[in-house]
Amino acid sequence: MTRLAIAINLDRCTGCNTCAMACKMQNNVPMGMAWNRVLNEDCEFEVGVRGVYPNISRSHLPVACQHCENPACMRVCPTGATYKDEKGRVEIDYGKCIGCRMCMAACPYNARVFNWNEPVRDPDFNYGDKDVPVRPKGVAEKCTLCKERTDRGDEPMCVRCCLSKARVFGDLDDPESEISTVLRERNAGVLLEEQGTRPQVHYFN
Amino acid sequence: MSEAIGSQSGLTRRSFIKAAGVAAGALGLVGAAGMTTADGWLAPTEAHAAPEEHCGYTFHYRHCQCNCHLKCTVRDGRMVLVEPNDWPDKRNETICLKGISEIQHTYSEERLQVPLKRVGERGTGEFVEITWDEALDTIADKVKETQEKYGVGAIAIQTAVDSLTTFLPQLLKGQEKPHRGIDIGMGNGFSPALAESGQQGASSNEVTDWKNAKTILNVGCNMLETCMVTAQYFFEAKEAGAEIITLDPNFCTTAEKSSRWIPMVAGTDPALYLGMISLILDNEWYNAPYLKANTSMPFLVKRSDGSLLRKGPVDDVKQAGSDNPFMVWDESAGALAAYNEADVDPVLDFETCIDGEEYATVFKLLRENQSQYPSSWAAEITGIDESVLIEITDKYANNGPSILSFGFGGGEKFYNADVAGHAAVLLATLVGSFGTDIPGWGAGAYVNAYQKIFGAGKLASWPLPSECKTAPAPKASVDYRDEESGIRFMWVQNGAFQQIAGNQNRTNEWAKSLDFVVVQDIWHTPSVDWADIVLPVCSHFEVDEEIGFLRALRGHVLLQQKVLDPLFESKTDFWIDREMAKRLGYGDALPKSQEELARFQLDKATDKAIVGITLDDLLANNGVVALKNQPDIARSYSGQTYKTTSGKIDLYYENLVSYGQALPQYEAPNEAYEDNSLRDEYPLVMTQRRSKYFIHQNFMDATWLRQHYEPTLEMNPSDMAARGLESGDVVEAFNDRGSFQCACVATEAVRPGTAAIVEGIWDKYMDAGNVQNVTNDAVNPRGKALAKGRVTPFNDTLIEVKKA
Repeated sequence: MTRLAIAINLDRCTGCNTCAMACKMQNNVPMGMAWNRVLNEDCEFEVGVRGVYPNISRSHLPVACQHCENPACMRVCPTGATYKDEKGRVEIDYGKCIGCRMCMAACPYNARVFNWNEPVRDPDFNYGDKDVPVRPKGVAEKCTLCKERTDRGDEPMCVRCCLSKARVFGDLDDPESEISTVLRERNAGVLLEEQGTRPQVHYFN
Repeated sequence: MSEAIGSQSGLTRRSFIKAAGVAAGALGLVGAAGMTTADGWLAPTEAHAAPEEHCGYTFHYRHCQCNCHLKCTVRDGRMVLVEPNDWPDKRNETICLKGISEIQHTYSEERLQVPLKRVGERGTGEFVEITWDEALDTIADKVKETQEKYGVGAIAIQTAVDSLTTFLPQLLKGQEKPHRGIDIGMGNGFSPALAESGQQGASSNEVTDWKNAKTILNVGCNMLETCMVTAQYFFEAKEAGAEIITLDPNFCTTAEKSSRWIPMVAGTDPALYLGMISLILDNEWYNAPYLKANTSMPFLVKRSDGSLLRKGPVDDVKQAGSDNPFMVWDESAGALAAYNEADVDPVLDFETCIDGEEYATVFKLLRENQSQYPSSWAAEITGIDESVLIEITDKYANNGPSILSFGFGGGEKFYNADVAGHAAVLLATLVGSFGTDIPGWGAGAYVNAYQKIFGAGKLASWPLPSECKTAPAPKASVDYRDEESGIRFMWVQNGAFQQIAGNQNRTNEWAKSLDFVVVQDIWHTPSVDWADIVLPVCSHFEVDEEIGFLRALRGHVLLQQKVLDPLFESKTDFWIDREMAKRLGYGDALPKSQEELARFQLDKATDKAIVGITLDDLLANNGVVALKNQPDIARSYSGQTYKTTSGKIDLYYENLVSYGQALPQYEAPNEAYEDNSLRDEYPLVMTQRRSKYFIHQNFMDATWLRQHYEPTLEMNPSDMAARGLESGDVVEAFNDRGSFQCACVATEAVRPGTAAIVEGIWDKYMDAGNVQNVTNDAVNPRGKALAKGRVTPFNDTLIEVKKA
């Protein structure tokens, strides 16, 4: 079996948003939407911190689809549009999506976004990978783990562009892969473990 | 799992919106708020079944110091993907959010599309479209008229790092970047001791050497945002066990990711270094054999006039020590000796009387001088606990290899920056940082050395007629805006009017007084509005032939190739150079194409790092070929070689005796000092900071980045509460020089008593005014004696803030 996944080193994440921007470009994500975003934990603003000067701290949390082994979104999808593919990725068949947004309500990570209106792109043409499907109004979308790139044997664009080399991409089912090694050797964990979704995306320090 | 993640009870949609920052709420990252529809944008899927797609390769803007080289996918004539190019050294395969944002930014609404001529008053930005011929003929006539009337020096050109202009300054024969005042503050004090070639305080080793250090002091340098490609080396060092200690008034991103952050009072960097020097002297933590062998510390100084004692009479303090040796006291002989005699054993701490004159070694004078600056004093001035100061000095001196890192922000943008630089090089020398070739020792501006000092090759220069050379700034002039500069005609690139000086209102008044202003730019920066003629330039992605420009930086020769045809009616900087050359009588003097220039630059190069590399090699390797014979990690001053007057590290600045700065004497900031009575009116110190989103004024119009950033004055909540302010309120920041207005935001990351704002923001994105309206442009008279002239003390600025 194959379970493609990403592990993110939070010690190395500077919150620079390059991953978010790389995702937007690669996947033709319109203005006002993001498949991948970097949260400043516990803060309302990007420049915010926890605590009172000078006893302060800040931490960044990049969040996109967690590609769960037990995806809450898939269980509630009435049409089978959301599915787990042969490489362990959670994907959406846009043709089957009826826009009911049950998946969005179910996802504890708020990883999905919805095309409420005709998408607005700036510049007003389809950028990104030529193989990425263009999504119409009325469908849900989210991180595909760069399906088009990873099918070609490339790493996802967020991994390719991360300046801190905070992101490790690979196959969790390959014990020799870098990601498997990282999960064995580092203090790795998942988001909202208690939800039972068993994310394949891991975070470590 | 980290507690932060484990403790999340649920990532709600609401928390996402909040956490994504200012922009999220306003722009609706989730949901439909604020969206408009655009019928017909969506091309049918079938249209993409067989699109024409190819890749182009180019370098990106490099004013961030990064020198990324990009692989750009073009589909149906439009740039649709920008990603790191393949390099021989994979570590260089970098891009940041700015590079990616070029998908939109290249097509920005703010692109200058056609040549323009001013029709309203200068500064109002009222223009009409004209032809290229009219624009260039008008300029050429004005150049000749100005030269005839006032001489060649009456024309000044402010070239920019991110323009590709090559020949224009020499063709105009005018002043080029007179009195730049930027990024030279620390270097003015740091570089002379080592004769560092760039004179901008470049570090003595590469940032890749950080992994070999145990203690890293990073003072006021937010490299993780300002020179983002260094991130991998920063984390490599941290993970290898280096303790990275960042000293900064504010909790910048680099402070956040460091092993430790030590807050300090802005602009007190000289006191920090002086206090550390005292601790090292008092505790005898210095490397005495190193100082004796490799520095001017044992040289004898005449107490009465501060001159260094030489073997013969001295006419010029710059006379080489090999011709007229400096004198030391030889321990074994018990007598005076030339410093460069064989087997000389100089005494470090010594004084004597010769022919009725008192002499002391530089080291002894330093000890005496430092008695003014005990660590308790430094602690009070810098606001750093004395025990912390002692602890970090101990680590720096005794837990090496150690790095001392500073940058082009923070203390560098203060009136006293050269004193900080001088004290920094002294501090680093005391512990033996230079010339030993021991991995992990070094000091200086790592973000500067990264691109210019190490891994740089020298391309051949295309020869111009001998009369084509730039003019020096008049000696009596200290600021290009003063009367003495004699400038009547200004040629401006890359938003320079907003970038190169403090006190924007003075710049604006000066701009109004000029005879003629040309602005050559890619985007409609605020400077454009001051032009008489506007020349629209191609972005770095556009070339009118297949070959563009060459660079030899970051250890490689980098070629710009065509990604896109020129957009709109924009032209390349090279084309403008050629057209101006024709009109100024040098039509035959320039290469006919960029390809001809590139071939010449490579084929005629004499630099061994380049000889043998051809344009065809570059084309075969998508524009990236490694320079030859590059070391794994570059280090300067190998084997203790210094091109200084004495050939050793010259820490005693004899040329500054009359300023009392032969050894560093503390000097407070010009305005932002503790007991300045001006603080009664303007109590807040304002810092302009660089951010990951922009390179100065460049990228301000990039809509992808603007989704994440909007102009805000960042303030401590206590200062906001005292003024009845809440995040999101529009405020006016002001002082006697001027004011600006934008929203404010509360954050404990900003030191109480200070305010911070990203620099380079265009006026049109502010609620009113320009950030530069309030900044300080005081001229330090010592600047005349410094290698790079006076520093512009942008951050040496006091303001008050009120609700607008």
